[in-house]
Amino acid sequence: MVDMNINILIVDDYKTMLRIIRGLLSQIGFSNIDEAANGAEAIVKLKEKNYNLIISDWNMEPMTGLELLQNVRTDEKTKTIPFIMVTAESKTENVIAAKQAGVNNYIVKPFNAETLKTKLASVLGAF
Amino acid sequence: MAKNWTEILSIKLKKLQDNNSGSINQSEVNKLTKEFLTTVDYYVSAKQRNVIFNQVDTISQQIAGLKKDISVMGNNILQENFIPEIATELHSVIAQTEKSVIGILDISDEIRKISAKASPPKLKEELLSHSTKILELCNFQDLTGQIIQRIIKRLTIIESTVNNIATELGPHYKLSSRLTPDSLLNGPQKEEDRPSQDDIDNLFADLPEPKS
Repeated sequence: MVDMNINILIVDDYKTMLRIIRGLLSQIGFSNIDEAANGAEAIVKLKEKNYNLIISDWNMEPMTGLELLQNVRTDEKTKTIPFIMVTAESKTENVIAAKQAGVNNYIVKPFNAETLKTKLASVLGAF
Repeated sequence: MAKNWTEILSIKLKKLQDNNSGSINQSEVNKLTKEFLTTVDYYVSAKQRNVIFNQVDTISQQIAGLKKDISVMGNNILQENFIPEIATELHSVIAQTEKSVIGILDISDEIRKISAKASPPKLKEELLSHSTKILELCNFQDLTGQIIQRIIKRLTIIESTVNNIATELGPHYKLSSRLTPDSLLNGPQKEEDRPSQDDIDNLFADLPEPKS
């Protein structure tokens, strides 16, 4: 069973999307949720605290979600943290690139609560 | 020598865009337009320059129209400094939709809190389901925001190119900065300029009946 007290980091440059994901995670039962507005901010938070899951947008500047993923996968401290990409980027080459970079699952915007829950379960285990 | 200038310029613009990942590099746009106009100078007659200018002027009018449409949502008064203003106005659109969506999400949070205290369980479940639906539907703001960002980048490149071409064509070529005034299609007005329904009703009542 999933530990609902895990630390989750959500990364997106749109405040509303951070609110949406936080709201959905809260409804599922997670409460330890931190936010970062971009990849660089996420990296700082990852250095300061141990996270058990990262949920990130792709299309951000100056560091994209893909670059954040690549960074996370090359750092000894963070390389095994499950990483879910939540993005409007839906072309085949995007998914391939993310998979090759080590993403654990991929959600395309717009998404619903059921999709998020399913992908979380695939990465963290059954609820 | 006959050439398809539109095609040549389109290819050069696309290359510039691709090389800059959608961001504008002002000095490269200036270089591109100087090169293009040098080529135009060599090949085209004065008559053809007039044709090119008229086409560019049409684009400039459309940009003026776009700025007018966008300014309905923005809080800034339109200035003559084209490039920053389009970006500012469109960023204002993103900011305004963000503000509205945050308000909606606050209401969704309130519904969720009420559902925690609600009874019977069926009501609790219904309230939670509605709160979830609200969250899902608010996805749109992120998507529209991203689309607008891409539009801002493209418009900035187009506008800069148009202004540079006009400059290079010579001082006697002046771009139109306003739409031709005979169009009745103005789209939504800014909130502070918009008449109320009472205003419209009163105006309507005062107008004479059409002659039969």
